[in-house]
Amino acid sequence: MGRTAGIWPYVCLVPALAAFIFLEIVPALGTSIFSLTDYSGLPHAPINWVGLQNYHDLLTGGQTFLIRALQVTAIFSLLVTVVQNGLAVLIAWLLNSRLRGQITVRVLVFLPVVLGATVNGLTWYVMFNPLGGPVTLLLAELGIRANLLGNAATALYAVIWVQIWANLGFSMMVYLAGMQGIPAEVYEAGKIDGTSPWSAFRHLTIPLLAPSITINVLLAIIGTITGYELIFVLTDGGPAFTSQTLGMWVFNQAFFISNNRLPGYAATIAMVQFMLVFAIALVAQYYLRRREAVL
Amino acid sequence: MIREDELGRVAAERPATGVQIGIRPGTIGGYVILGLLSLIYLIPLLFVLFVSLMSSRQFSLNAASFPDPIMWSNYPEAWVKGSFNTYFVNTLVYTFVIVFGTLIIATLAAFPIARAHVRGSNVFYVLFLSGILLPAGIIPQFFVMQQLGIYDTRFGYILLWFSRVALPIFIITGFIKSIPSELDDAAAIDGCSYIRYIFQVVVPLIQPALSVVGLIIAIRVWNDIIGPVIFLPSNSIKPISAGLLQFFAEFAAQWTLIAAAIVITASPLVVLYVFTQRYIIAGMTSGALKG
Repeated sequence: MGRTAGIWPYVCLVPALAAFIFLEIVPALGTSIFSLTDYSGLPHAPINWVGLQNYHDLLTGGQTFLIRALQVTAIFSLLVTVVQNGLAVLIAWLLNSRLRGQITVRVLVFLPVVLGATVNGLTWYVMFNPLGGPVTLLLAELGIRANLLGNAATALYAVIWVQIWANLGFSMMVYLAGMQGIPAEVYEAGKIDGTSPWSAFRHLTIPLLAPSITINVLLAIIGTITGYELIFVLTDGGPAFTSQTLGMWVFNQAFFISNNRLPGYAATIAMVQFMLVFAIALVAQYYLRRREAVL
Repeated sequence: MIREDELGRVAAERPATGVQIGIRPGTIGGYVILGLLSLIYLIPLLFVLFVSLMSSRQFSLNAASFPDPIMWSNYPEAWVKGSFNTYFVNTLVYTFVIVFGTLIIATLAAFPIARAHVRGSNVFYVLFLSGILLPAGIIPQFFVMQQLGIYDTRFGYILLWFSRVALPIFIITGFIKSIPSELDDAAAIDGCSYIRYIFQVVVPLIQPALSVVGLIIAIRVWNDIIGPVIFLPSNSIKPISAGLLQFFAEFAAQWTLIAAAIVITASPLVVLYVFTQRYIIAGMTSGALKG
């Protein structure tokens, strides 16, 4: 049929290809070009070529901002990736045994993945609310007066908590699917040897789960460095930039600092972010794949 | 890659393959952990639901309690004050147009790629695949949309979503490849026109994949917040997620109304989830599972 259809197969490709190239590929690559300009985002202002000026500014004048954003990104990414994956594996393991009511738990834990950042973020905003929010009341019972999202020392950790709460279901279901792909015979063999459930988990489930661990860890690292939806809803990077990751900074610098919007400069930060994701993904991929092979 | 027989047969309904744990201390520990976990997920959701039905007086006196009296009026109040009529209609239009538009352009592209009807079909496949991994270039996107005069327009926002065809094409191509191609050859003899063939023969065959992909896109459009905040600053064309955030900013500290607005925004998704959760979970995790 392909030979008789003439140009029609090509015509069919055009709409998707056009939208994809002009609004996805070209912009993704174009970030590097904008990072070399003084683009202001104003409709009729001229755009001038400034060479590496933005990079120079970022590494000299913007240095403290850059270091702080890198620190926040590292804490956010590391804590979320480790805790979310650790919990998800354990819970998936519990759900993969024959405990009652586990379907309800699966459906419930996955629900925030469907509800999205605005609903999840505002729900926890109400929970953390300093006037009558249950979390605040609970902490007050323990003798701690806290406004978790409004305090520079705690805001980042409150955001991390919500980020894990919101995405745990996703990792959990990927692990669960991975565990269900492990043949029952493997465990039967273990039973004959008198293996305890914990030892079976440690020495059979975890090694055989390596491919799921690779993909989940990678998705969590990339997601936390590039994604900032929940941070935007909860704190917008505040207070005093203590929860501003690189991604959040790009967004704020490009569009939402009322009198100092600098999309060109923001594109430079986006390049740093991109290189970071690229490097980490490469290293993680290499390390985790090697681990898979060894196991 | 998901195939027809796997679609919808998610982890959720497969039997457990793990070790059967009898009633032992380990089991009790398991129940305790699952119970605590359920509470951590239920409490915030129920709290927002309760607050949405409270009087603001009760909220300020004792928020952590059952609503008494039940203030149903919070809902119409939030709906009217927040112009949720406009936001709701906007989101329905965006969701409908983006879901069907994306499914159409993705299917049209996926079929010739899957069947190698175009030269270098693999190059196109890899090109689209790269879109799943590339970070969104929001700054150039802003520039392009401003230059084309489609910034802050419904059309521009919809077009932006059409560019996110990578994952739909990836899933649909995989699905088409799992269907035998004998029918295609028969159709060539009939002289059936190419595009008509895709819509009349291929689309019914891949309908399960299209439903799952459609569901995922619908949920993503409904939940998109960064997109509308950057590209749709005008209130009259905002979708509901951005409308909710706008409402939150305008009615700060009116927690009972904010809670009602949260429930209004979330409830269509909850209803959709209750009826299609197997497909939603399968679809949303399938991108990871093929890895």
